[in-house]
Amino acid sequence: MKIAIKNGRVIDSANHLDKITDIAIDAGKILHVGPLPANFHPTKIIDAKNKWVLPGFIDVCCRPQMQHPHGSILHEEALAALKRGITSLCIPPDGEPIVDSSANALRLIQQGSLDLPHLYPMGALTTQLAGDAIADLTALANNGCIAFTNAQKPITDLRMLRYCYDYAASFDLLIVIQPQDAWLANSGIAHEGLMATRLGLPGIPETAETIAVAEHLLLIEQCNVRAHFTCLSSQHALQQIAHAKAQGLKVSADAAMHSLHLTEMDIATFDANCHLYPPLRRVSDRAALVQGFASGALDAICSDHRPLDSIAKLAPFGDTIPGLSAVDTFFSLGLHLVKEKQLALEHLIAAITSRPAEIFNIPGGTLSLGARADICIIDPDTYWVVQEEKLFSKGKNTPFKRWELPGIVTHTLVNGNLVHER
Amino acid sequence: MYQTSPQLDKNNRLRHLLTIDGLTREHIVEILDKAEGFFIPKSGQIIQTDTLQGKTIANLFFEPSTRTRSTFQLAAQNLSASVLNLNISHSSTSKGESLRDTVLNLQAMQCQLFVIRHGSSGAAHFVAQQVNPFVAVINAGDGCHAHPTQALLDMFTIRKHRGDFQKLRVAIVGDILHSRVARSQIHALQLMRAGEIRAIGPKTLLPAHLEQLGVKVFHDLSQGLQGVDVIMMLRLQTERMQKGLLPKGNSYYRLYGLTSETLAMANPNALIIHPGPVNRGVEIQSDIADSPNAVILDQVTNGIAIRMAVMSLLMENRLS
Repeated sequence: MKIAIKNGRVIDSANHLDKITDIAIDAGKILHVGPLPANFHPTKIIDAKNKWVLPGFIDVCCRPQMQHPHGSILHEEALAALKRGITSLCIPPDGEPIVDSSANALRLIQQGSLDLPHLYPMGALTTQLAGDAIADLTALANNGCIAFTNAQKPITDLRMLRYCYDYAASFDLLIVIQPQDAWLANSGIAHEGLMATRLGLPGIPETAETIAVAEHLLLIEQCNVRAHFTCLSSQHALQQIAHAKAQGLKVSADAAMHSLHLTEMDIATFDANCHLYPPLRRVSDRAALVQGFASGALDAICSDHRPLDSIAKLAPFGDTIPGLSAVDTFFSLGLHLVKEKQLALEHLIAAITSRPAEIFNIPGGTLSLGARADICIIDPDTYWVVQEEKLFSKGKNTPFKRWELPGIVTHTLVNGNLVHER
Repeated sequence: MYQTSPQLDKNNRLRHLLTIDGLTREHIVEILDKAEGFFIPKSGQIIQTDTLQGKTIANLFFEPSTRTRSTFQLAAQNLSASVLNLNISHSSTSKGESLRDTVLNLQAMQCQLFVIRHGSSGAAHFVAQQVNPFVAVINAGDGCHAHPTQALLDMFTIRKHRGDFQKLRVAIVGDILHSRVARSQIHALQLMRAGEIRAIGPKTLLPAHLEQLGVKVFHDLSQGLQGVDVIMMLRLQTERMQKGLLPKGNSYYRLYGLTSETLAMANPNALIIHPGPVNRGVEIQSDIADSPNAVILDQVTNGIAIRMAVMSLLMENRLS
């Protein structure tokens, strides 16, 4: 199918491109960027006047499975992501079943289809994420796993962790780390600060993150393994990452989109939708995370999407399941920061397209000639109010209810196929 | 995003009593004055009224309690309300949905006022979100968060015995980390403009950034008690404590127990209050707990009047 996208503002951070022009798509690939060639006869023309034409977004941490027994299936969540412009999902292995075998990796990939975003499983670093035996990493890699992580089950035995990193380094595999010291985090629920003190909630100190980052960085250096830190929440952790990068370690990092907006102040009335993991931290941490893209400490932004059914949040704050439904607000929240001049547009686009593609070696995130035609088209000036019924995700657990946000995704293309049109 | 207080109505009147945090001095004084009105002058007897005749109050206790539950019950009976007592042991499976269902069922049984105690911080806020506009909620202790009626009865007791708060130095001693009482006391003392508020305990039993609540922090009991007028003792909340916060043995009493020696550091006739239950020989020397300046039993009586005041106020605000 030949598609032409005309008159849009085409932004491609990988090629430092930002201009109003046309794109020609043929056989699932980008054929041409610029005024349409005379001999190109599209079967469909999309008028993108006053719109932005961007590479489809890559979400580097997304759990499209519902986390409750009677929840939705992956298909609906992936579709929700698609309608918000996300064309690639990197999925941590801690779903059901745990992706610690080739069979389970294939099972996940086979749930994908041509009209869904690309599904990229991350493999479990250890069998059953139990932290006591290395999973068959190369077999997982050969069956589609793009990275390896113990997700939210930190490995407490550092000797075991070292073996994992040495083994992964032998085959140049990417490690993903969500840093949290299990002992310091213990049974904590909220950032250990003034708000947790006021609310009488057990605290998770910042050191639960920074000590874990330090530990991992030392092992990354020793084992010379490639590593990506995900869902960082504190200013000090960012400083550690920046220092490691300056030393030449092969590390990258992301923060979750919500952590660029929310802080510990948002839990003041025990809103269970703000019960998140890692916890919302200080006002100064939020500011540092937003600045992390200009400074280079942060590379990517993930959604940390975790849809939950309505029961999961119907309890006193600490008794609820942590997590938020995030794909619906993902890009709009980023654009909100751009419109408020907190975040540069090129940093936002790079953090959700080209940088994730480079880090995870995903063929997308760019509009280069010959690249896979994963594209989304945005109306950046239309605002919408976040309400349950407006969410495509089955998870209504968003802390952003009643926020008025800019940005509507009008078209999404995956492999050159128009899979969403509004 | 800005959110209005879940316990005040649009006219800033108390709709529920969930926490002292966010109330005004006027709210507190209104309750203290109302409680005072329930005492027959000079005799110290509490009156009985028919204010809440025909109303049903549900005492919903997910944690064991003797004093608080009994005084809520007596308070309700003094106001001629019917009382439904439910003691529900908090098993790990009795999570949110069952709490919500319990509350909705009681609401269907036409209970107009819920008194709730629960092991999770924020439980009373959660219940207040679930009930219909005709039901009021009183927090009788949620996790480590708040115990507002206890703080109010403490303020009542201090005002009765010592008067003007601005002249008072008040020390709160012990396990503040796990204490919902201390948190509510600190907010109440701030609102009553207490001269100085001190917190005394080892760092392992003090929550982070306590000083940002306007509290002077001490780790040495003798230093902390120097020149204070009111001593609020707390119980070690061993049921909420994690292992390793304190050494084994009697070091806590040695360092933080209120004894004749340490009491001598305070101002003469310093008032001693304690939310109970008192652990004699653990946080306080036994005879000090029985001394004339220890008004621990008076607190219990005052608790009835305070709870009558809160209950009748919430029901008045609900109707008007």
